[in-house]
Amino acid sequence: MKIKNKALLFCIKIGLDVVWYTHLVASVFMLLLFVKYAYSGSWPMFSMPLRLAIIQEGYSPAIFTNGLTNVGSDVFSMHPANPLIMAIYQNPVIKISLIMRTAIRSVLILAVIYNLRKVFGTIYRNEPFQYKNITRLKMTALYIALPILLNVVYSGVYQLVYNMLKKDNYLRAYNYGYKFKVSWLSWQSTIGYLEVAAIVYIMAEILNYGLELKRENEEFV
Amino acid sequence: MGIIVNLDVEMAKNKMSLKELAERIDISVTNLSLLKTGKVKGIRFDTLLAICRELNCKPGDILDITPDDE
Repeated sequence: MKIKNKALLFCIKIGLDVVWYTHLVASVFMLLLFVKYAYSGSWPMFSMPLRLAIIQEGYSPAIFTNGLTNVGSDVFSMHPANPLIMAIYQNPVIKISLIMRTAIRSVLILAVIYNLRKVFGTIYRNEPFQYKNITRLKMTALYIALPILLNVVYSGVYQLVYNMLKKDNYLRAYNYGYKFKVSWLSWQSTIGYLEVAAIVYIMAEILNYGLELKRENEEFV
Repeated sequence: MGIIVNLDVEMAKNKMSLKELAERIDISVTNLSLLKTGKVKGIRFDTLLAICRELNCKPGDILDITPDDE
């Protein structure tokens, strides 16, 4: 079967290539930058793992807490305009865990784009019916679903960290009129990941069925 | 019991080679060879019709049933 809209396919192919190489370079660059910032003492607010939400408005410039280690204190700064508390983490446990999380996510995104490029390459060459593509799509579904597991693990870890810091934080913040709650997971993003992974997996199963039909059809002359 | 293909017999009667027949009925030599050796699961009606037309025979001349072993 000939693919009619070759120009559109070519555009998608180029787009995927651009995304792949850009992400590859950006991942390495960001990881290096991340590590540099993490150990230079000026930790930028890349992530808010505790997902603290302010229920009551108030103002306090910063709360200093003891970190998990004696190396440095974590700083939580709060601003009424921002519903989330910015956290500046000084202790190495959190720093390393954040770097690991970013690295894992980056690798997963790269793996997804790599597989999509491979699958799309076969479509572009008019030979999409391959058993390899089923494996690739199933692996892509797995890579998309893995961040959910990552979220669960990290939410658990952060919950533990938060519980250790909570008492001190809460008492200080309470004096300024703040109240906190911790959400374990971002359910919206979790459901989103699940939906996309399910769609990709279903497509892999449909391709598998199509391939079986094709194989059966080829046994007739 | 099974189906056997007597295509080679009919081809010999008509003095037609595999390649020539393949070209006439517009299928690949590989597929026709597979059909001749009985290594296919089935044959489409239009293929059967084309073969019969070229070899001046009936489907029963090409396809037969092997008797039971007993």
